[in-house]
Amino acid sequence: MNELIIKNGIVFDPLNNIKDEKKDICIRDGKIVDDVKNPKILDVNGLLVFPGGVDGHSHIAGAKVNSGRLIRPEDGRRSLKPKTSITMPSSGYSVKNVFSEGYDYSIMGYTTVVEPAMPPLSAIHTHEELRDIPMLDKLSLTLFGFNWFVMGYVSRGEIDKLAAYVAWMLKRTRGYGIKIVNPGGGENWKWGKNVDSLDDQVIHFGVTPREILNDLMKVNEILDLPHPIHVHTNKLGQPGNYNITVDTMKLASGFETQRGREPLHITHVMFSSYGGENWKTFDSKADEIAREVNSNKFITVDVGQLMFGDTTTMTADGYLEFNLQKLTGFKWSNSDTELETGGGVTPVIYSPTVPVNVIQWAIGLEAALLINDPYQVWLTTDHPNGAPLTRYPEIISLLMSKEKREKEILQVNNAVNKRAILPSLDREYEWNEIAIITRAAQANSYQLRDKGHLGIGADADVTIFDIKPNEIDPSKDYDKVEKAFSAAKYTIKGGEIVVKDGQIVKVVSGKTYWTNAEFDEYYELIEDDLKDWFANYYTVNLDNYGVNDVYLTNPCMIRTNPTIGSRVRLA
Amino acid sequence: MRVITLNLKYDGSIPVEAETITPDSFSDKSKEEIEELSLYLGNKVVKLREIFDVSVEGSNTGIDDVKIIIKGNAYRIKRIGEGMTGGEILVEGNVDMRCGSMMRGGKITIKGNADSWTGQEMVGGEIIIEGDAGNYIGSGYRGALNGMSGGKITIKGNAGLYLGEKMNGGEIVVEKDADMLAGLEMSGGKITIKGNAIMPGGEMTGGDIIVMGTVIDRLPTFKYLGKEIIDNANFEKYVGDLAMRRAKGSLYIKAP
Repeated sequence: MNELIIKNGIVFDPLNNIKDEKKDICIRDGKIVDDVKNPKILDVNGLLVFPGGVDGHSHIAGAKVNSGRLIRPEDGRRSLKPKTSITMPSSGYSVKNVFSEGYDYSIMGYTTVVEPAMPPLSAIHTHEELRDIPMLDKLSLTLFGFNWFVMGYVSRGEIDKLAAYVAWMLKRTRGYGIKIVNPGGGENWKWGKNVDSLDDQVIHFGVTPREILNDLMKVNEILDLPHPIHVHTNKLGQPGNYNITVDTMKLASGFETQRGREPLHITHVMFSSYGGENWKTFDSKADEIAREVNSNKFITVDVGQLMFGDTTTMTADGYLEFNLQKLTGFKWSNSDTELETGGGVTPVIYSPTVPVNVIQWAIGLEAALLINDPYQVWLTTDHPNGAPLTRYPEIISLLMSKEKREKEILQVNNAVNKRAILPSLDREYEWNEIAIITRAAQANSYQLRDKGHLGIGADADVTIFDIKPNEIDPSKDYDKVEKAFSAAKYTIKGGEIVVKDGQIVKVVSGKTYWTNAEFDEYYELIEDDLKDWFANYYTVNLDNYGVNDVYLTNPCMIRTNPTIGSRVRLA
Repeated sequence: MRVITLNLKYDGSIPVEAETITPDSFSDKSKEEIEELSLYLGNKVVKLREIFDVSVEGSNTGIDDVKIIIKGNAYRIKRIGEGMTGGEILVEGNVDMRCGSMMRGGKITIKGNADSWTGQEMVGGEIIIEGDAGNYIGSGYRGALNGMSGGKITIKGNAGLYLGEKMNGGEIVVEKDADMLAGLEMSGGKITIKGNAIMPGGEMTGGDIIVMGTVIDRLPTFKYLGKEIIDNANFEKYVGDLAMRRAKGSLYIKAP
């Protein structure tokens, strides 16, 4: 038996209502237990103890990340670390190599990370990269937003077939949930156009983003999927897009779910909270977005915080990347993934002297500060779109200290005072709220029952930070907060100490979660369509399509309980 | 003045990564400490004393007081003087790639030939190459947005392909000829080629290229503006490369 006890830590475990308590944590064989007999003792004497971090949206693997690496060799020469006796070499800042993604997350105390955009055709590639990312438990969301099958079934009203298709696809790609990027708009981009509102039609299919979102939300519920539909809104990254974001949020209003989670998640909301008509009149509408979130308990958002510096943007929303490339003139890569999705990659430099960038920076913080319930807002940077993952500690210190924000505001373009509301916000996050937005809220939203908390039976993923929460004032000692969060004192993954004093001391490989939502005769329902379309339109044979468990490290299947098939008859 | 002489005793063909050979890194180190510095030989770590014999004379007060002399044919020693901010390096033979890359100040003199990427992304200081130079002198790293942005590189022999690629500041002077596409994608700074050049200024958007010899295959995307006199010599001035948006590069070609 492998036993460990963490003594005298100051524990914050929001999902179990433990807040600022001096408490011992007992671990046996990778799980949290109530007592141990002959443990190894780790006395952390008053240090901050959190559950292991969960990042619900971070582009860490797949074809898109790899094209970022390919077009940015100059990024790969940054943050170089040679191989050691236990670790592989590290490279890259915004488009890191797979190893350093694992190490850097682990050093910051994260133990679970979600790759949020897996094109079905490159699912193998995504899983091959995920397999090589050490230290973390991984999930990936499959892209459905402008898939031809989806739009076809939506236009014909065949919701049972749509459910069958989603279940089949999640199984074939070993995906965890439904990701929707620019619903419908991505297909129009293949014709050089986009959608402007939720009621614009998709070329040839005649469906609207509203119908796609509504039907996929229903299917998500029919299939009993653990995660809400994960939506990258239409018109993302364009001035004046907050209206369509609020409209999208309203779709979820009143939609009750049997799992007791929200039906809709709006991702990297910073990029969707823009006011103004063009880049000259661009301003922050984070207040409008926050008002909707505060009054609508049926949605969650994540921040997608932007930090100054250079980074690489990558998304399945090809239109967005094209426009960004036109603004910057930098190199650009665009892709069209057959019937399924698309994508683009381009580097950007976010500058503290450029008014637009400064307002974007402010919007993310405003959204985090204005949304009252921390369970509704996760901390993300949409790595690497807003900023690389290594910038989290800085953002945490900004959220915890108004003084630090004031100091930063003095250094950036004055537009932040005129066209954003950040300077007027006084809220400072507390330790418990930080634990929620970096851990509990995300574990909750992904319904990962063993993650994000330290109750009996949870996975023994624990982070201990080198800071004494009762002895410092985070609003004054923000530098100490940043330093503590950038290098955990200990990260414990599955009961083993993997990081000590900010150094990797043991390399482990995590689990890969996926959702199996099969129901009776689901394949027969769509078999003819699949065979027909694969024969006529795909470059891949149906039998060669998808991923099997060989590609996954420690596959971990989540079986759901679909209310379709023989279990419940459709009305 | 403190003179540190490195006598090359390595004669293998596997390249040595020698970014630690800079006045900055040597200035506060004793002879023994210098000998113990680590270098990569291929994928293995070796001590500097396994590659060079070190001798030290005199003492220094700062970085600018340090002079490093490298004796022998260092054609397999890469990255000498990388990121140096002051002082002087004298290479008596040839050097391998990326000598003086990202250099910020000081001076490097190379008596022999320099391989490619010499002065890559340099910001300040001076490099003098007395022999010939390879490709991509004063350019950016693969994929980088900018190349050399300050300082001066003088090449007394010929220069290879893509001289000053993506350069946006500083100055390069070539005493003899430059191979194809000097000033490729440059956006600032000045390149003077005293000999001949082939297709100079491809995709340039800013900066000046002056060719005193003959231009072979001048790109058709340059527009003739008129005659101009520089240092009492007649030049034809072109603007380009008009294949690029908002291009304001100037190409001066000596009038026949």
